Amino acid sequence: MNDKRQQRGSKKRRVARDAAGTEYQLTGKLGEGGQGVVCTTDRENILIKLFTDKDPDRRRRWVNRLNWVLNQELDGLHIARPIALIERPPGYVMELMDGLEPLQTGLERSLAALIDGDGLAGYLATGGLRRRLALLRELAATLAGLHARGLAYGDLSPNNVFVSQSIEHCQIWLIDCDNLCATERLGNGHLHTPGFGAPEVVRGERGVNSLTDAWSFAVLAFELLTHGHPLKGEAVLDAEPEEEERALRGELPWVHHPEDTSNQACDGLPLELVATPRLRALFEDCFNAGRDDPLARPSLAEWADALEAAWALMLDCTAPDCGSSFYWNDDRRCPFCDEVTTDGLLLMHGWESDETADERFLETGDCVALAADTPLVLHLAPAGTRGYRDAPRVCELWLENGELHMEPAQHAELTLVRCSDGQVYAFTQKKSLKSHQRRGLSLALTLCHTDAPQLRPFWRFTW
Amino acid sequence: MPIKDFAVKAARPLPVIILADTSGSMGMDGKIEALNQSLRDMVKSFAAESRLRGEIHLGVITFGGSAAAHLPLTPAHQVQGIQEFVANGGTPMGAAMDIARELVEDRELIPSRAYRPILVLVSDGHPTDDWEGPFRTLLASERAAKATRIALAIGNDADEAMLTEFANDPEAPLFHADNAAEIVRFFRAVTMSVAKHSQSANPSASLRLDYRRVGDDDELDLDF
Repeated sequence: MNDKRQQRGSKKRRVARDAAGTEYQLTGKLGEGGQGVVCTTDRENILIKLFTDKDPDRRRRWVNRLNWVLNQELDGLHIARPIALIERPPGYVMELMDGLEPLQTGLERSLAALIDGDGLAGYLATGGLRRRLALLRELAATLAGLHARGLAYGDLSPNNVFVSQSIEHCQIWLIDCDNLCATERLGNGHLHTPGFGAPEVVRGERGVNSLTDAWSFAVLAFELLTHGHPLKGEAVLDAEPEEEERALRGELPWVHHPEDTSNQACDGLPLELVATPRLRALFEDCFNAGRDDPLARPSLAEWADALEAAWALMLDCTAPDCGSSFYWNDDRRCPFCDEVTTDGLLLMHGWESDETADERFLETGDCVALAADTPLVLHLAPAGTRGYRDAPRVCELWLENGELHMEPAQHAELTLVRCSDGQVYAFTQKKSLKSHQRRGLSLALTLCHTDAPQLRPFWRFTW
Repeated sequence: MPIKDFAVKAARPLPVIILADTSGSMGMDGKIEALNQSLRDMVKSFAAESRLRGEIHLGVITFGGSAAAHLPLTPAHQVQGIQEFVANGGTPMGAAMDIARELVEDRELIPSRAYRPILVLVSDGHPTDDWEGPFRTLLASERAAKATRIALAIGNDADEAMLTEFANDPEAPLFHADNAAEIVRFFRAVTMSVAKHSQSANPSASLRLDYRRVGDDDELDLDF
């Protein structure tokens, strides 16, 4: 490094100073985009984004927008917001916790493994399907929260989403909040990351807004799950590069179009392996009708709900060499290695009501899979809604050596109901169902919490 | 049972072809050493570049004494190091042009899905073989005509007329290097521009060479 700098005779400085006079020694480059660079500094958890475009007009507009962003209410959202401004070159200081990396890094690792013949090793090393769903759920919830405040993010891409380096964790943080905008942005061109821009933005007809965010999110979700691109099918990938530009402008059907197969998917993981029917329906709405009609695209709130519901269906393959996570199926067969997983239980959600005697149980269709040796916390709200994990916890369940253990939380009462004859058994202490009692009976576990005694969700399962 | 595998297509290739003068005169004033250093740096940078949007393929043709494909067109992340150039002999640029044309027009090596090639010609002298014919044929060939062509004239003895005609970037007609350090700097600019280009919205458009000035007081040093 020093040699090179001497060689170039560079006398440039590496210290940035904010408006309050605080100095930051720049220590490395974390990311680089069309308009600027993000640098690490000598201060813990402090990053600096610098605007490197030298055009005076664009600089002024960028600084103006930044000042506007500084005044937006972003508390409670996982967005690394500006905490101080840098004057020369224009930039800002932001705080980002340790142990994060761009989502792009993991995507590249996973894709490189597939290309280089290591199969799904990279997919699994970056957390497999279970973690992908969790990351996307967190991202969708953050964007939904932003949209609920009347703001749009603007330039969503795997470079701007930072995620936990450790696959044990599923934190996400958005950086580059200088692209935030209130309404459609007209004057600043049509900033987007290649491949992630909505067709009307790529064509230069519209600026970015919450509906273009919805498009970019769906592309990112599709890519993270399948390693394919929703608009790059057979007709695009083998053709000349110009064909790809047409596809990104929205002139070709999406790769899973139900009737028009002229641009069929030809690479990546099959969508039905990595997306539930509900998620597939959202992709279809976004990329088919939503390709030309931005209003047809599912909202980020819909994505967050569907991802939560999908995540609740994860089982972990117990085959020694596999390690995949997959969606519940009745055979508990892992679609990645075809081995049958040792144990698992599907819980089906419903509400209990005294109102109508002949319809005491009303099933909602929401389900949660209980994987062997992975404890599951049941909350008062049904899975598949974003409020699920904020609702009070009622009990913890786990499957171990063929036994089902049920432990009520404080202030909770559980009732086990035999569905065939309505016989009940209430308990407030840990209770277990033994493996020899497993006879294919339909049972329902009714939850009750003193905080909300009128709510009585139940989870039906077969034992 | 083994875990299933799934096919994914590698990103589109972005061919970068260097035509390097390795004639005897390059042996003076550390020019060939600078060229060697530049190529090593370039390979290292390209290999580290993301392969999500475009896969940089690098090929090197040398002309010094005789013309030869020094490095066949290879995905940058697979290049195992480049043999050092040795300055020697005359400047058979015409023969190098023939090799370049054959390479660029080879539909197996460069499939139709590839991005437009980038040709970089570096020379410090006048061609010593019959170059006019091969030069015209190259420039007229379908793919070389569409390619981004960049030229660097080293020192005062370079054939500037010819290099200027080779270059087709309207914003950057011909680059000059007066010493070894400037050769390194030129290649750094090419490397950075190609890397940026491979990630850009439109890698099939022609490349824009970002030849940044050194010593801009307003700027922080961001070349980590």
